[in-house]
Amino acid sequence: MTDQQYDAIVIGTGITGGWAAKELCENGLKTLVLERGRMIEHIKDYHTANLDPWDMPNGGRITPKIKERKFKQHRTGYVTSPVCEHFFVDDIKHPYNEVRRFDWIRGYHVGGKSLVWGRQSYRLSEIDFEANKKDGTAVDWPIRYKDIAPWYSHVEKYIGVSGENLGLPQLPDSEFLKPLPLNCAEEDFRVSVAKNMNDRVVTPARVAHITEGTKPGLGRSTCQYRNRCMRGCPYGAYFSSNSSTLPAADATGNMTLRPHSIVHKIIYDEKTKSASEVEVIDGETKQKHTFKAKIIFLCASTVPSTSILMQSTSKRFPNGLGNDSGELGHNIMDHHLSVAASAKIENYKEKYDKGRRPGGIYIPRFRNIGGDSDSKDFIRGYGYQGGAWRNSMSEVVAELKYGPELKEEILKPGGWRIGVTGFGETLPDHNNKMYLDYNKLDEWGLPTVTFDADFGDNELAMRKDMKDQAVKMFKAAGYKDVVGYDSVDSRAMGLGIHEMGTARMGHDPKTSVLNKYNQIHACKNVFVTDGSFMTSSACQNPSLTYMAFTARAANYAAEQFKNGNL
Amino acid sequence: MKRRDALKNIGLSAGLIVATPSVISLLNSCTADSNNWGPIFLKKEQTKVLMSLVDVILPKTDTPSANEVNVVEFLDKYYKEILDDNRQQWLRETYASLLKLIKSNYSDTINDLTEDNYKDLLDNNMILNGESNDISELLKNIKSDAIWAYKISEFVGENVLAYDPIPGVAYCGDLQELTGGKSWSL
Repeated sequence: MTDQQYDAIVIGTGITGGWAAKELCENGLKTLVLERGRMIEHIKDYHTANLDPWDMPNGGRITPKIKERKFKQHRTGYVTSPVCEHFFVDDIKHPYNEVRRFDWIRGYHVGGKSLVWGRQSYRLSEIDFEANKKDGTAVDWPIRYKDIAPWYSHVEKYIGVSGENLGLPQLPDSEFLKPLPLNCAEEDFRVSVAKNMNDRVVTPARVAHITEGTKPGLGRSTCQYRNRCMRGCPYGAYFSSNSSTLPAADATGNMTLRPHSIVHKIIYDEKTKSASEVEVIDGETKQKHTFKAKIIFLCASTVPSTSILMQSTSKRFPNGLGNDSGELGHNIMDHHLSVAASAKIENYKEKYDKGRRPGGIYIPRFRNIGGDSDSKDFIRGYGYQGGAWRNSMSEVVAELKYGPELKEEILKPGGWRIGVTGFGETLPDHNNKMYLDYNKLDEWGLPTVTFDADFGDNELAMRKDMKDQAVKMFKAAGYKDVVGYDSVDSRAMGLGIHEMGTARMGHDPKTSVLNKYNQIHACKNVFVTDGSFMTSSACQNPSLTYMAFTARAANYAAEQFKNGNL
Repeated sequence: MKRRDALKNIGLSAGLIVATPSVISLLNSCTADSNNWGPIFLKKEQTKVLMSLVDVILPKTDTPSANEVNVVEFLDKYYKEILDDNRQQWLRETYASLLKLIKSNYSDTINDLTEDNYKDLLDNNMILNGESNDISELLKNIKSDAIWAYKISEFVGENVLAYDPIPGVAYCGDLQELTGGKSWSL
């Protein structure tokens, strides 16, 4: 059956779908927002948000049943916790295939991963946008920092990002709310790095949390320092689609939100040379629908969006919508991580943290930004995230077997430790890819995704420096028990949950899928604004960049629509 | 009175840190109320041994003992509902070995064992540093599991440790002023 005609359709309700919906609706476009999963209402559906460990069966430990049903999601070790596992998919119901291991971590519901994201928010810099061209990797980004800078500001002012401006060329300043405070051990480390290392700085994590005042949306207010963000925040203190952008879109009266709507195909009209409608299977009834619109925003997150384009074959696009270049599904990237160090800090035994902050410290990239920072072993760079904490109980506990003294000691906090973990840039590589398997269909008769990707030589060379430099910083600070590690053998793409790059932007339709406004080169009324557009990965957490590009593309689309060009 | 309701009410009236003697006696009565409880994973003798061990490890002082916050009931359910088949099998076998060792060293009748017998058992069989064995591993597990279960029990979490569900602010302060030297429970 064919349903109503809309000005725009947004596919997906996560961090980019929410932004596309808000900007299009606020520009007056009648917009249908399609979400493949169930409805999640802000606050009402955060049923674990106020539970203490003793309120949950078995103290909230992960049950064998969750591990069995969500065996790939469980590779993270944390998303399957009963406090948040309902925001992640069942791997048996939603299977995928791996030629090489790929940890594909997903949430199918209104809000998507915006409900559970890490909230770290860093701008890409001119260094990042120039990198591919300068070192001859893949293709050049079709935009530069100046093109996106105003949109970063637009997004940051709306969502609320806390942090500290440093004036660094490799990590541009943002529109910040006051930073999260460092604790005394982190402050000690910051002073030590400033004194002992002339090439890098320690700064509070830049996170999408309201640290002062309020922000627009459903009663968004200041962080209460409970650090239960992954359960959904009853204060709306961190940014999510559910608390912020979707309510804004709804308030215009222009949005129709339709959960349980699995988009599998965008129909290309040979006459108008543009996309005319989308095909949907109702996730519950399995009934088929089509919806028509002038503009389509594909915001289903990297792999699903690419999968929808691949399924959208036509006479004009036999290899998938917009795939004239043959690059669709290729160049998949993620950040490489799990290389880290930690150390013991012997001072500050009389100090303790009040409040549970939703972020710790960040060390911006300091490699390959010119001069002495350049490495002969690898190109690009990495940043560190981390923090310091007191152990949950006294170290004396390990030396006692029983009795009143043991009981006293288990109630006292232990000493301080500090840890940082690297987030490294991954180069785009045509050989890293995803594709569809039509022999293995899912419950809705749709093809499943197969991954074939891994990190390359540049990433592996970078990891050695990531570990060495972390150890060096802690030793220079005089910390004890310094332990560096690199779990390179258990590495897999996807674990960073920053999968990106499978429908890249570029100048040339022969080598890229999207143009500089996130439009498909040869089908300009389809915009792809989730992580699939990324031409390179940089080393910064990418969600802020996805939001800025989405806002820019949506406003461009609305302008073109009003001018009659779309 | 249901144990949880009783403890919630204690949480409201007994202040933050110290459990008073009247609180302890109420806890005792609640424990007595739950005498109907029966293990779902452990055998009866193993349960008895575990109850004795956890109260030697975490005895009653000015704060409740392990049994007063139902640590064994919690662990028995945890063994059954959370641990995988391999771990459960290891526990069954090692608990059986532990019982055998206890009977040969102390008494065939578990009820006859004294607190000193259990202290002796831990002194001689829990190896903190050096080469371990299954019995030692089990005893160390009992210690760490009991500590975990004790600390995440509602009474200890809300009344013995420092409980701060909605801090509202974040800063680094003085340990004594913030919590009287205790850990936060969350």
